[in-house]
Amino acid sequence: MNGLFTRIPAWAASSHGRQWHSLLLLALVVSVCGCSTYQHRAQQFHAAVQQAQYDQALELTDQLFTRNDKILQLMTQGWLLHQQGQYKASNEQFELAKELNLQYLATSVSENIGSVIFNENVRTYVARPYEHLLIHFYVALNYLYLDSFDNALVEMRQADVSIQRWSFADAQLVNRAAPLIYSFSGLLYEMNRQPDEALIAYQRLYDVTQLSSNQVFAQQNIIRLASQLKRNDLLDQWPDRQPLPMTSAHQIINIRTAGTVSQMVEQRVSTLSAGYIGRGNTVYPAGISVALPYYPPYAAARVPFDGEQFVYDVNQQARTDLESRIGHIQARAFARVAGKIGVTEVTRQESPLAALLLNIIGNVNERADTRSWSVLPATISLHRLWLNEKEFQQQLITLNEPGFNLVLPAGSVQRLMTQATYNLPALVMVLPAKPINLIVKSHTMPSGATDRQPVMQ
Amino acid sequence: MRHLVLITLSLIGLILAGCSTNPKVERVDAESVADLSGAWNDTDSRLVAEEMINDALAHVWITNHTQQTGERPTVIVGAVRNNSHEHINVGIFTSDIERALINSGRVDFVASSEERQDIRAERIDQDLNATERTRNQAGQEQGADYMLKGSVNSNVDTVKGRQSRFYQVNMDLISLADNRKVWVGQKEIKKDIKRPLVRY
Repeated sequence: MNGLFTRIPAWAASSHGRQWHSLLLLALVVSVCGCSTYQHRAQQFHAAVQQAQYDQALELTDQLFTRNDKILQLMTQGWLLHQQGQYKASNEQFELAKELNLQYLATSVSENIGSVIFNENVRTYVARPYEHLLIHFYVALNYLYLDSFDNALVEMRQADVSIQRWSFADAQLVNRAAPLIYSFSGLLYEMNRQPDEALIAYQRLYDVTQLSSNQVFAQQNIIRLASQLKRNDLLDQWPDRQPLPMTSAHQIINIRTAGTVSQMVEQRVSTLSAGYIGRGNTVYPAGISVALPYYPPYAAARVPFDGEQFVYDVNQQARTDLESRIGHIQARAFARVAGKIGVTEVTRQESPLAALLLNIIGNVNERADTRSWSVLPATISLHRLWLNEKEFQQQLITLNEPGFNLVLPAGSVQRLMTQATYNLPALVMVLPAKPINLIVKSHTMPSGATDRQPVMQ
Repeated sequence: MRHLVLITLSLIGLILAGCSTNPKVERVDAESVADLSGAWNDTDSRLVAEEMINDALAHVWITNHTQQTGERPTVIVGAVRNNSHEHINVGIFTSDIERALINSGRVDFVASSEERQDIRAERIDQDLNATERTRNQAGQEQGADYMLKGSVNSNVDTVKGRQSRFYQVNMDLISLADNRKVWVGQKEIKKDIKRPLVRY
């Protein structure tokens, strides 16, 4: 066997052959350069987000996302603007993302074909059901920040319509993503003095929630509202129910996020064969690559709280979502590999070197679709604290966090930055709600922040 | 060769036309119907306003009030709650209703609670800075006889690419003297929206 690339075939030395090879080489170089540039920008972007340099991250979004990632870009920009406190601008981006998402829900013929020929990234990114529901969640939060309680409720109703829309496609997947919406809307309906609506939301939560702690949260609220509404038919379902936890006219709802959701990564399986024997017995190697997305293992975040709490594990949602579609992704990947082998074989008859270059380009372009809303928090948790009269009058509430007292001037909007008991610090927001209840909203903060004292913003 | 040049030029022309970044603006009649996404729009607001105005002016509450008091009724716009699933600007049709009722010459409107804050601030400012002749004194406001309240409700049924949206707008005119509802208006709108399941 001759060495690899030891001779230049006569046909390749011709003018036509040189042009053809130059084009293929150019395509190869562009592919490789494009990939490394993207990786560099992506690293810059995530570093900026981790360091809470949201201005810089926002600037990078213009270069990071391609035309196919418009929805992802809008979602990311909406989230960054939310973090910056630009709630109105954030909602504008989220609204555009929602509208585009509806437009692109239709199956694309050309993108399906393209994904089999090239790779999955030729598809227009469409928010996954759990991501779309999180858009509603963040829009509702923005409205709460903007002191527009009615619009926050409108957003919850929209989320309900979204759940209904997707339930026909994959009820199980949607049910796993929906608990956050049900629990949050339940709390908001309660604040809006709509106990019937709140009860329905908690009942739905109880029906679909997977975590036992979340079932306790749902059950406690169902029992409390059923007692309030004198719904004995519901109360009879829990004859052994525990006494109701303390409730009062005053409460704080603490919405806390922690960590950052795992990044989807590419898993590549490659093989190298002896390849093609060209003219003059030159041997060209041939490779086959299949790239598939996967999430690395993760440890579920511990959310320490002994009051009423609901925990939404975004990491788990992302993994469940990928599991639900990995079969289709694999099928397309194998069809793509078969197609590439076929094209390369046909080309080989004419030119083994061209076949080699096509083979390399095919392998370089074989990329897994690892796109996802990667700036999301790892967990979102809702906590409810019932306040006694003394606590409320003093407007001094301890949020079960060592060394942290949250002073709540009633009826004013403020943001507090505090070191949480989690690994990451959290940003807390206090909102005026119905007469004396307050919503506190926590946020994931950069891991670099070390301030342990509550800071007014 | 000539054909090749022509085809190439045509393709370049098409690409350039497609790449144009200038928005195309066309002025249209304000009353023209443009249903783009199926969401609540200006046409829906106008239909609601027209229905409410016709109904409110045709109803006997104005005549009854005028006969009983000898004066035109004075109305204030209260809260119109949006209980729908869309972010609807209810101010669009409430201001239409307000304008039509005022222009009918049969009803007086007074400033809403939000609008009053500005007016009162200006009056306080006048008290300090305006001449005595042009100054408007506090305590001369006209009290409303009725409050216009309402709500927008919706119901959505959706399956795959098809969606049915039902809107119901309710408006009540409530007597501030005794909480009587003297007029109740209602407008219902239903839309059937189909989204394509397949795209190019």
